[in-house]
Amino acid sequence: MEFEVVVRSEGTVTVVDVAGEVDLYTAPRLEDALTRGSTGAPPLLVVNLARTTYMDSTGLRVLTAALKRVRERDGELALVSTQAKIAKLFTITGLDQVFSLSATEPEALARVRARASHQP
Amino acid sequence: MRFGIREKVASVILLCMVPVLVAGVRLYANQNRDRRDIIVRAQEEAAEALAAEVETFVANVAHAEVAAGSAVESQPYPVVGIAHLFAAIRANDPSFLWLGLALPNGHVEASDPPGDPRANVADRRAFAAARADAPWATGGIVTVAGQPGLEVASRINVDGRLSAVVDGVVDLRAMRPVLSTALAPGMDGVIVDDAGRIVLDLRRADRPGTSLGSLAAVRAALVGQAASISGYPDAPGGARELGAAAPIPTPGWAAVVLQPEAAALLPVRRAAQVELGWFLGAVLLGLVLAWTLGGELSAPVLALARGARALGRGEVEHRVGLRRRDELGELGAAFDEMSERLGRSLSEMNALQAVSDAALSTVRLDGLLPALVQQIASALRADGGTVWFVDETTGRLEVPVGFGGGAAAVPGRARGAGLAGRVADAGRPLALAGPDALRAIDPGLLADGVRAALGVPLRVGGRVIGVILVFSRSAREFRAREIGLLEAFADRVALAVDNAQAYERQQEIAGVIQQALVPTSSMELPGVVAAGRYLPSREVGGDFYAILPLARGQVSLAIADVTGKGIPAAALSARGRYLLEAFAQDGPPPETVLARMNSVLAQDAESALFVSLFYGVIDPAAGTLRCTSAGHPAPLLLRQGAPAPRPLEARGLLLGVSADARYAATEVTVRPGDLVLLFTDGITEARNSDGEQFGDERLGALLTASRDAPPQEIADRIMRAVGEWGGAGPKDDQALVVARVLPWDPGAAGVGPEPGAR
Repeated sequence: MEFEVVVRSEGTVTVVDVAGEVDLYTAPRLEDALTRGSTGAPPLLVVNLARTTYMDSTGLRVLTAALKRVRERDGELALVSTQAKIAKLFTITGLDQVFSLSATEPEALARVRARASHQP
Repeated sequence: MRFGIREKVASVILLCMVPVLVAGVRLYANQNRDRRDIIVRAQEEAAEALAAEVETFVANVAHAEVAAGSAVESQPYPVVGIAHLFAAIRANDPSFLWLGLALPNGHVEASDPPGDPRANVADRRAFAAARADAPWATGGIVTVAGQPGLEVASRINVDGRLSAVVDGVVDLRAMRPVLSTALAPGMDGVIVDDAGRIVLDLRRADRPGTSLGSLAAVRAALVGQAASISGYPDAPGGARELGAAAPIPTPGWAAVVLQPEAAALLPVRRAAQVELGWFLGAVLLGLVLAWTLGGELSAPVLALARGARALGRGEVEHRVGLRRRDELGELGAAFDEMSERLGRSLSEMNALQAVSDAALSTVRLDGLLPALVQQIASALRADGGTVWFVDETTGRLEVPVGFGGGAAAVPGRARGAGLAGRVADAGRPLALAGPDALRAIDPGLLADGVRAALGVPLRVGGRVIGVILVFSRSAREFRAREIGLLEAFADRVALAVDNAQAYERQQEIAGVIQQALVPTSSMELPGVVAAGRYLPSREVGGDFYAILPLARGQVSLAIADVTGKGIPAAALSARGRYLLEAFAQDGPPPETVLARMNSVLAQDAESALFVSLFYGVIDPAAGTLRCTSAGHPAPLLLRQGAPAPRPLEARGLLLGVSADARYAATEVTVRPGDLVLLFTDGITEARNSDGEQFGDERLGALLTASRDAPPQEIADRIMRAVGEWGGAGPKDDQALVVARVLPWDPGAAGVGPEPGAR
């Protein structure tokens, strides 16, 4: 599948749909999309990996860097992961403990909003 | 429909024709009026001629009468004799219906044919006139034996006094043969008496007894005035007739000429039709000419419009191709010339752009150069081109690429020799045109058929790194514009070459760092035999592994993968490796090693690079393997006798993500003969041409199949299999470590290498 990243809005939350393979060559585009998507105050993001077929360590780095940035600004970033391969990647790297992973997009949106409402 | 040039020209010409049309119509009307006048005049003349002939006839008749009278006068025969005389006259002149001698009181003494003895002509007009004093006179119509005739009377004087009157009736039919000659074909001649009644109709028998007194012209003629008749509807069908009437003074009648209107006007109509035909023909011709001229104007304009559109779409090879000698032809030629120049500029621009793109990319230039040189040469309309590079060590010129023939591309040319050498030496462009110039500077090029050549230096920071040559096999001269263009190319090529060289240098540096990190590939220790392999990808990455002997025969095995590529990754890899060696040195528990490394790496907030690491310690004496993982793929453990390997599960966050990360160790038992395989994702995620990954299962099967081989060989087999799977040039670094647990000999433990060493 061709790599494709789409940024859209769901109310106050920015959803980034990632399709195809995230690797050394496509990760910069994901990074760019995440930067564009985290302009809110606080930034609220859901990265939907439902159609992501592959992700290497570069992709993880981009996601983790985005998470760091978002949390520094009291925002939240949640992931939607339905694919076993992607889920396994997060398990192996231990990043499943760091990221908020959901099976569906509404669940991820709810988590991000819940987190946002706890903000002062 | 579009109202284009053609339609406009046609309309203008049509508009110009309007006054012509009006004038034409007026002329046409005048002509027709004139023609009608001519017809009317002809009819009037015919009527006058008719009248004259009637008059002549009547005069002749009167003359005959007078002669008869004279005969009677001079020969005073008895009445019977007179009758005989009259008979003789009538026999001689059959136009007399009747002849009689009347006494002054009107009594008819004698007549021929003989009639009633009591006949009296006192009431006849001619008789009355002659009796009064006229030598002769004509009277009215008198019917004799049912035949109408004209009364004519002449006076007979004896001794100056009236003695008798000869009264005659002339047969009007006698006029007929005399009169018909005056009429044109199609004309009818009618003679009417003083009351307008028809006396004689020359051509038609259907109007006897009819009176034409209702016609104004006839009434005018009867009072002595010639007049024309227009529109006399006398026929049963009501066909209108035209004509004229002329007076006949004696005997006070009128001659009328009539002609059916259609027949009369036929010549007028014919002439009008012919005229109208010419006129319309002329107008039509004008329109056709206008249409043709319009087309002549609009077709090239449309062709130019098509050309402009084609040009807009970027079809610079499109040509309008107007073959005309007029101004439009000149415009078309100018347009085509513009297209051609534009096309030339475009190809020059494209060539420049291509070189610029190459200069900006970090790809090696070797593959691109031939295409670039070709593009440059074709932009300059040259037949060939070569790029010469100065060999930094020898200072000579080498020819890596070129096309368009050998073109004396002798490698190893000294600076100063040949065109390329001269340009490199002088650092200035040099153009050669003509055999003489070539023979003097570069006979090799001349021998190769070159007739003109241009060389410009490739410079980087004021240093000449090479020369670009373009040449032409036909006679021409490279001028200032072309020299400027080639210099622009040369600047970009030089930049590209410089970039490429810088990139290669960077790769070289990264490679050197990388190689410095790769440890000894195998190690045989008392309790463990281990082998490691590392294959960097083209763009140096950050995998590394370590096999570290610890105290008491323990051996630590580590494998790591740094995110990212290039020098930053290689540098982090070096850092990671030295941190690992430092923290592992005194043999702390593996989870402590990871926690320490993480706390150091997590402080590098700037780097944003992470490290995945598997770190395990084999204790051959205890028969245990303690495993920790910081986000690294689980290694495989193939136990002696087991059918398949199992993953060594250990969980932990990537190093450098969070300073708070906690790491825990899991412990498994190991026995002699057990195999442990550590690997990075470059191994399992290597892809074949179909995009399929090598995968965990294939790796496990390969390990199982090779289980009896020494670790070095197992490692080689796996690397080979993965290499064959993924093809040349791995996308990602590949690293692995294979270790086999050996039977533990406590006595041998003491002679192991010093802890911490490689």
